[in-house]
Amino acid sequence: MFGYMGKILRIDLSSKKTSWSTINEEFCKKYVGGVGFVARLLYDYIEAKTDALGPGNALVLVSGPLAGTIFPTGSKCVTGAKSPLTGFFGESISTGFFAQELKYAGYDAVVIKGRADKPTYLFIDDDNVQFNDAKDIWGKDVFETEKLINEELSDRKNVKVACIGPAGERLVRFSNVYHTGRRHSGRTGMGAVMGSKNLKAIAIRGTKSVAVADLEELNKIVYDLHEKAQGPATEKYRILGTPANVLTLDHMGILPTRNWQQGTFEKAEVVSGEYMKRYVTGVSACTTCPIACDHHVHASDGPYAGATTTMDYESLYALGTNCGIDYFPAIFRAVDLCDKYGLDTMSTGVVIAWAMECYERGILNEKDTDGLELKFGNHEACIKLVSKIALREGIGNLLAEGVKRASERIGRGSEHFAIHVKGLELPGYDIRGLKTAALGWAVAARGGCHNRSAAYEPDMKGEVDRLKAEKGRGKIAARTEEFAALLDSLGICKFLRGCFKDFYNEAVRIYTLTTGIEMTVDELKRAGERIINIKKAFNVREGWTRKDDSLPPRVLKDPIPDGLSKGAYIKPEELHLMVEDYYEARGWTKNGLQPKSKLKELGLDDMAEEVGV
Amino acid sequence: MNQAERRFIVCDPSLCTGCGICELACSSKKEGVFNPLFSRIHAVRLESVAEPLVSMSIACQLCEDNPACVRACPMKALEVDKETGTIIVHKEGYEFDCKHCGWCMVACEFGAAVLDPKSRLAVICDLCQDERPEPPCVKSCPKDALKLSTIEEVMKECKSEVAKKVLLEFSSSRKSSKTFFERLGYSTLPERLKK
Repeated sequence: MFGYMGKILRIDLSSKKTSWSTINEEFCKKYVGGVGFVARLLYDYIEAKTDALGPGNALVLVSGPLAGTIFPTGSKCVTGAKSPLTGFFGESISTGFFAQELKYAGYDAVVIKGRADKPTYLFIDDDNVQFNDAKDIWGKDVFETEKLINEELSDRKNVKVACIGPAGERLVRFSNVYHTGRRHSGRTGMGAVMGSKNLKAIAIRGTKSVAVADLEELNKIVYDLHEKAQGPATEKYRILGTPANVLTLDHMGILPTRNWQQGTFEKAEVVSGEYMKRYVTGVSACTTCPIACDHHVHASDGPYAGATTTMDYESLYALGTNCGIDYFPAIFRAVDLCDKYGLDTMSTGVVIAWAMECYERGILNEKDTDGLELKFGNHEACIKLVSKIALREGIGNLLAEGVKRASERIGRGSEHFAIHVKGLELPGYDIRGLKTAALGWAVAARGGCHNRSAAYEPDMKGEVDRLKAEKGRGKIAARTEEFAALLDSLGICKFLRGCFKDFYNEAVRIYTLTTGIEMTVDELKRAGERIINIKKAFNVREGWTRKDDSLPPRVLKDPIPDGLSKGAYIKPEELHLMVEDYYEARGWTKNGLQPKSKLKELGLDDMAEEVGV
Repeated sequence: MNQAERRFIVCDPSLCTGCGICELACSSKKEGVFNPLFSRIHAVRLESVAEPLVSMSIACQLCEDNPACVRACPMKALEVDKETGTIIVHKEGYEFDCKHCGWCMVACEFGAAVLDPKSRLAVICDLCQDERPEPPCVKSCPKDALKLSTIEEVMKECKSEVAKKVLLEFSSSRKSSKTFFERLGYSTLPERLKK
């Protein structure tokens, strides 16, 4: 087999048994890889209504057909499981070195079920799987864990690690999984799933090779993309990194500030990508990436001297503008702590901002917050709170449940400004001023997420009027969603998307040259639609209802008070119109359920029987 | 070719991002498949929590005068190519052949010699003599961090880099409260310079 390794490794932590199954060309073509494989595997390996933190949940780590090859940005690793944060389909992508090594070890995917009776870490060494005692690394932060495992296995260069930090061990619902190369599978609480299985880490090493069908032709495309990746299409990511967004979004009035109370930040200048330049010590790239967007920053003086981390826009929004913090070194320290503890910076920032608003409105007082003065802009309190959340101390124990559960428990109107969709905290684009994106996030299977819907692009680019909700947006949101699903399944980074002139035609060529499997543009588009439908079917089986496709009350009621998007909000009837338009574009019923005929048409007969109407 | 004219692969760590593309370009050229273990060039990412990250790729440095790997080989299977300066690993059929002991790997201070996991033979960068103007690793580097240079070119570049840095430090130190020497890490001016 070319491109794929044709094997799925299955590990049961309870019985310490391992087995493997093969996958054939038909399976590969149907589900492509990456998110597509995750969708299929989660549907197959998890029973309906399983406890997300119980042994019945399956944790899968999947690579794509391009992982392990030289294809730029091709080595994406998708970590998936039923999400403890949303209770629905959960997955998160990272581009560390894990996916590549997974292929070299001979597998396209690894499925982990059960629960170890004591802290364990797995060592997958080609065909050999060891269940190692994690007594000495339990409680250690992610960087130390990686180091200790490398030392124990006496291999620093070839052993790649995916591990959790203290937050994952304590089942913080938005804890993440760290991957070698300073990358994280951040969203939907995959770290808590590992923690619930008593699984501290997965170390992997492989000696096998990945072969492609037509090396020469593929290399031509690769070199061409390398060149394009140094051009204008990726300039933003290379020069300033994603923090370049701050001033753009501030100008458009859609930079979420102080828990989405404002659309602009008066101090945006000093938390901008341009300002961050003075702290940058270098850039690094993910595996096989020619862009290198990851900006390493270091604060050399001031109260946070020594704070070192890597910055991207979402972390900057969540722990910066959204908490009203305008001091870069403080943001670095907060992000660094999140990374060490294994917390998703985005969810952490949103939940802290929510607590700050509660405090300012008198819903929480100093007694509730363990003496912390949780005012917007108080970075000392914010940093203390990060540790409290990770270790579930005091108020951190409440916040560690995620903003949805925390606001439900506190009540007193705090649900109004709990910024989440399906329980997943929102990323840093104020969707009141991006109405196609608002639709995309409302209907996204994994909850509020810009990466899986990608519907902000037509809004931001001015393809449509971003402040208007109208019929036709459903089709656009469906299109961008499928595009994103295919990128995530092939394992191509979204930052490379600007380098393709005609994505679908180029993608099928890349796919065929890599795997040797013939694929047409129609078939590829079909695969995208299929993947979206499996994710949806998973959610329906978990008890999804029409009211889950909604937006936070603040987005539906409070207009943006300032800036270029002043007065914009999503009226409930606008949302209703767009969501129904989206269901129609998908060929689903008015209530968002999937007709049997639609699922059968996509070759998903088993799902048609189970969830089709 | 005399030693000063010999070119070898040089990596500029200020440009290297640690992406590992060179490793895969090498393995696909040499073995037709993707596998970093087959690579003759090695991407190294030195990451630690406190320090900024440093990345660079290292291949055979063409050590002059009886290199350590050649000296270490108990079978005398390694030999310096008189023309290019690269290391030839003799295989079965030659008078002395590689017996997979890995002593060259231990001896090389740059980690440039490795054992092929399949054949267990020592493999060392031969600069892909059939690929000109550049070997695939250099050609594929998206950040142009890799170059084929002679030792003289490297030294020239180093000198100009140092001069640039000193001038830059000097000009900026006049504006700042710290002296140039303080910025270099001395707490005060070194005694011998005060005179």
